[in-house]
Amino acid sequence: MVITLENFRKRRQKNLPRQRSLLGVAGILSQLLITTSWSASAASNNETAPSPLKIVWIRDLGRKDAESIKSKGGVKDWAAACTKLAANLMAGKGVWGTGVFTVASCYIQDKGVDKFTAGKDAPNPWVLRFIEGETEATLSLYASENKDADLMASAKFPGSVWAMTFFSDKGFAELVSLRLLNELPMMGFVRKGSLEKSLDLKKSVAFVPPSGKRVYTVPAPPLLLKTFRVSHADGAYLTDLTGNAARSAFVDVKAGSESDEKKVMTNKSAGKYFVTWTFDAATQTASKNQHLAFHDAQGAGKLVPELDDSINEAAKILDEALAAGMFSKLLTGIKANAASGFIGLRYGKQVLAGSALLKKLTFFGLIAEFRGGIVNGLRYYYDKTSQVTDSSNGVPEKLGWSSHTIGKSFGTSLSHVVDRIDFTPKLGIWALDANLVRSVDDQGIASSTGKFYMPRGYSLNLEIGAEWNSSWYKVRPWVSYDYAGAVSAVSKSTITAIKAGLDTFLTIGPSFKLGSTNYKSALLGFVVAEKLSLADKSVKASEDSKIDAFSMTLTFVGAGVAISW
Amino acid sequence: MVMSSRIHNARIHHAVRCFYVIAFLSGSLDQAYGKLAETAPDAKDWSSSLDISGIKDVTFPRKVLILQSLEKPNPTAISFKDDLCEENSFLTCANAESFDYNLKVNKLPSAPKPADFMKYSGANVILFNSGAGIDLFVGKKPEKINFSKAGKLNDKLNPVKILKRLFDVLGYDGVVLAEKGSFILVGSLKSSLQKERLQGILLENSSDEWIIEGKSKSTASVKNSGAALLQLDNANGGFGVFRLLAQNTGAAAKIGQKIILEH
Repeated sequence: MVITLENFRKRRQKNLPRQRSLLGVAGILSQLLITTSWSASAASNNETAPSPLKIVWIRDLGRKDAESIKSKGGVKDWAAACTKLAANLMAGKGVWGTGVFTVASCYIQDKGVDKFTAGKDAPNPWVLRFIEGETEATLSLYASENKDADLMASAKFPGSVWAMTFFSDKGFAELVSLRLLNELPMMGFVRKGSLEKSLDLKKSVAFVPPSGKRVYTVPAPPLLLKTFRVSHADGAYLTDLTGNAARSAFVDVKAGSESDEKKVMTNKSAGKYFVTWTFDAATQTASKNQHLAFHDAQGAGKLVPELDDSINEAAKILDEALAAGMFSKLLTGIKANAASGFIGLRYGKQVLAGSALLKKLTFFGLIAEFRGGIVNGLRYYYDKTSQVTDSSNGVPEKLGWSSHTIGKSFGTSLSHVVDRIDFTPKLGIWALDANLVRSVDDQGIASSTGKFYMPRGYSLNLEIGAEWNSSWYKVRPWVSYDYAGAVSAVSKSTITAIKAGLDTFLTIGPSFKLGSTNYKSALLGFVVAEKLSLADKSVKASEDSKIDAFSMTLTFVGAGVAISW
Repeated sequence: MVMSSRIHNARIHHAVRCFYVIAFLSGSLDQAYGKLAETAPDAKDWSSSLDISGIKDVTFPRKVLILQSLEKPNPTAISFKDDLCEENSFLTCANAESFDYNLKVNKLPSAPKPADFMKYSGANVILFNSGAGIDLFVGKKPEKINFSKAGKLNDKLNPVKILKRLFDVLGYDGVVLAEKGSFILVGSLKSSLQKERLQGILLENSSDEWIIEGKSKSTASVKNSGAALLQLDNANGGFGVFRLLAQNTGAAAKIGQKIILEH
């Protein structure tokens, strides 16, 4: 019997009894062995998870430049630049906590062959090809090493002979990596309950060009992120939405408060922010068992136009800076490292009751502090008192000292208690010239005097301070200990100074701009209480009228002006 | 003597024939009985161990994208109550929100076609409102098929009715998803697998065809002969385990072969 669709349909239409008879006839007449080469596949695992990355530098500038790749410098520079770029593409390590890769390896392509330079290889990597052309540098990110692999993201900037070196600039490496990640179907993977990152909306390149302009803007972070499982099939990334992460905080680090959203978006003038996105409960639960990706809720590539502008802006500045030469690079690097800071002058008087001599003391000081780069925390002080004299005790008294001190502070923030607490070791050089009366007889004539002379004495100093600040004030109490010893054939004087002080900075003066740098003026106020102990070990015991030590307690109160940048 | 010899030879001949008949019958019956005695896999276990999305180049509905319209560049999908499609069929319906987001994270061509919407939703069937009725695209190189001359797709519709209509338009009730011994896992609608000992017929030369009945050109190439007779053993949702009762040819059951079920 032949089973036809037609007779089956007829049977079905008539609701005939099941053709049980078919069992016997067909069962006897047929060999009922069904074989198939297909078997149900195990659950296909095309879920997208963090992958390894291979970065290849390809120079396309002609023979001369190809040879430069082989030079040790080129390889070394590329290793450093590539490592910096890769660091921002690793999962959780990029700007805003982005990144989708696990490990990275760096290669240089020479005569069509990729040669390992740095990093760590892993199987089945994505490939980022950095092609340094004469007129344009391009970065193309592919989902595999296959020649026909999908192009996932690409970025470009104007060609420069320094193009590879650009990535040595941390901000530039961050920008380019963010640009690439923003174009991908996923910008990062969920690793914990929230994403927390500090970020700059206005960045400076590390090298200052001759024009002095080195600041560029960075787009503000997205308001909402989507979280999802993501799989890859037939060239498409398919999302299965899990939840979202709202931007729960956007704090102006300097002001210590939530930023004005509109102000941030329009001005982008402020510096450092702290941004937090908090993942919803569904995401947090699901992320425990599987890889969840996240991206801007608006979709992929929404920030690409803004990021391209920033990259071009930064590349132009870097090209100008690096083209100025290595000496300029070094010099401008130093300038760049003193990216912010202040310099101030101050004047004060000794106000505590004391001898006629001490009442005459006045104080003049120069203070400078640098914040940013490798000189971050560097402080310089020049302190000088007036050289005062008095003869009311029948003996000419004199007192005056000066010091140059340089130190580096190491600070940290203690949230909710103090904005900054720092510890500053210092080295200095003191100079002292004093002739002092310790006691007078019944007629008011000096009975014991001491001469302390230190034309040059090296000092060690330790200072501990705390700081509370806002956008317009800074209050800083501090204590310090100084010890200076004379280096002199005729004198063996020493100075020990224990000081406690309070500095205030009020940024309430006018602002002005010189070149590309904004300057702000500030008023300074200070009070310092100090116990100054002088000693001269060269004094012999037989010299009855001479003293070998003298202590005085002084309090200076004063004010000054400062300029910060 | 001659007579007795002839009788003897006839008896031997008869005995031999009987032996062969009995042997043949017993072998066939044993084979048939063996098939009956074989324990049927559980539809729930079998279907849950199967990744339908992993089957390549399918020629049957697997994931359905239901759109308000095919407006470019970003059409709006319709979402139904969670898992309604999955609970009532072997099919999945594309989630509207995920589809919308897929269009945002993938790089679409400047003038996306229905095939692109299939690609970026993972669906292989698109239904959309068109003019006065509803149209349909199926497969990798879809051609537009009239799904309904009246009515509009919206989120108030019962998706199960839409899927039922889909199978009617395509001209079959189920498809072969997997085979194990003398059992076949069939994907269908839950409502089509309610009848005990339900029988169906496996259609010959149907595994490469999207449409069995209808006005499509593809219908012409389909041979309507039945390849085998099937009987439902157990079902779970839109998955049914069918026992192979009889077969016309020795050809293997193929993934995607279409099945007509008795009503």
